[in-house]
Amino acid sequence: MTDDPTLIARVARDLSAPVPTDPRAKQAVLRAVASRRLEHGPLARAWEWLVEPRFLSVSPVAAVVVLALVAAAAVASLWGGPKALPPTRQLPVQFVLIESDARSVALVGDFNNWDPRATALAQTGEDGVWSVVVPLPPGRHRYAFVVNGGRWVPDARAPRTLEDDFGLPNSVIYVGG
Amino acid sequence: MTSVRAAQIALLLLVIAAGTLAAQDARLPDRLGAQVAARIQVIVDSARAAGLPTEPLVQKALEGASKNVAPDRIVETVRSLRARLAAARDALGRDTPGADLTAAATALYAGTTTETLRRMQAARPGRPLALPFAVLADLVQQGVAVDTAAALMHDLTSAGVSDADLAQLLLLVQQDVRAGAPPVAAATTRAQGVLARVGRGEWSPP
Repeated sequence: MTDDPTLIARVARDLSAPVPTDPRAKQAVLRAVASRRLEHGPLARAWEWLVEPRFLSVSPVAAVVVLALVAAAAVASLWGGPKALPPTRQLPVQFVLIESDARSVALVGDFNNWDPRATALAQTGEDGVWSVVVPLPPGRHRYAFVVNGGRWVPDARAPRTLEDDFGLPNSVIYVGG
Repeated sequence: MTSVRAAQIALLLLVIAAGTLAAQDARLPDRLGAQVAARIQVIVDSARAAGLPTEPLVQKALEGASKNVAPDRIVETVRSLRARLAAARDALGRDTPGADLTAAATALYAGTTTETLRRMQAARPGRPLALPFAVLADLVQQGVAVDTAAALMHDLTSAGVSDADLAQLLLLVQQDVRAGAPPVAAATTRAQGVLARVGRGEWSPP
């Protein structure tokens, strides 16, 4: 170990001095590197294309459209458009319809968008007994059966709803919370 | 400079249009067609802007679509429901949960007054009111006079009767009416039975 500043400065100068190289060796190294790049597979070339910096030319109209879409997405998320409700506990509820002349029975209600294609009842094996079990969140639900694809039938064992705005009665069920 | 101003206006219009599209409910055009869906969407948007629940409006429109109801009638029915939701909100306050407002709108449809809604709210402070309002409406559907149903529900909610007991009450009244009992007598008798159980401490926990 030494603290001689002169010696330290000289060693530092020697270490930082450029190392003389043979120009032919340098050219050989560059050629080798270039040939290795050409040997890359398509994935490597794609990655290089992706990460290579470049300038993009975008027309003002295209820029406006892109900005508008981004802004719209932000506005929609802040404004609270149709959002999925948080998951709530659901309870299995059995619906039964006795309809001897039915070829098909569907359950429609405010829990399946009143869609006759959403919830089909199955025959239980006995003539005319149709059944389905549906998980429902607690609360009041309005529903009806659709027989043979077009005939609306309320549940005879459940109370009717008051709001038959459209002239075809619905039934109401209260699911315990 | 003119072109810059035009670009700014175009950007603003595009943002508004795209934002509206993003908020549209895809269920409506799927089931109602583009034109009727657009008319319903206007009502839904105005309800959302007013802080009202929108799902009941969408469900009412979808119900009308499944029942093959004329478009004008669907639109008018949805508009009426939106008005009842607004009346319920005005009566119960802006912080009222959507489920309570939806049930209150049903109670208004049954003929209840906004004053009755407020009295029931005062009788059950800080607790959900969706089920009492809905049972009130369904009692009216069973044939119970609206004033009687409102008075009974006020007494029951004031006594702390649980939602489960209220729903059970409705089923018992329905059975009694089907068995031939006059609706008012059935409702009054069943309500007195529930209140007697409450008095003896035999009611379901709220």
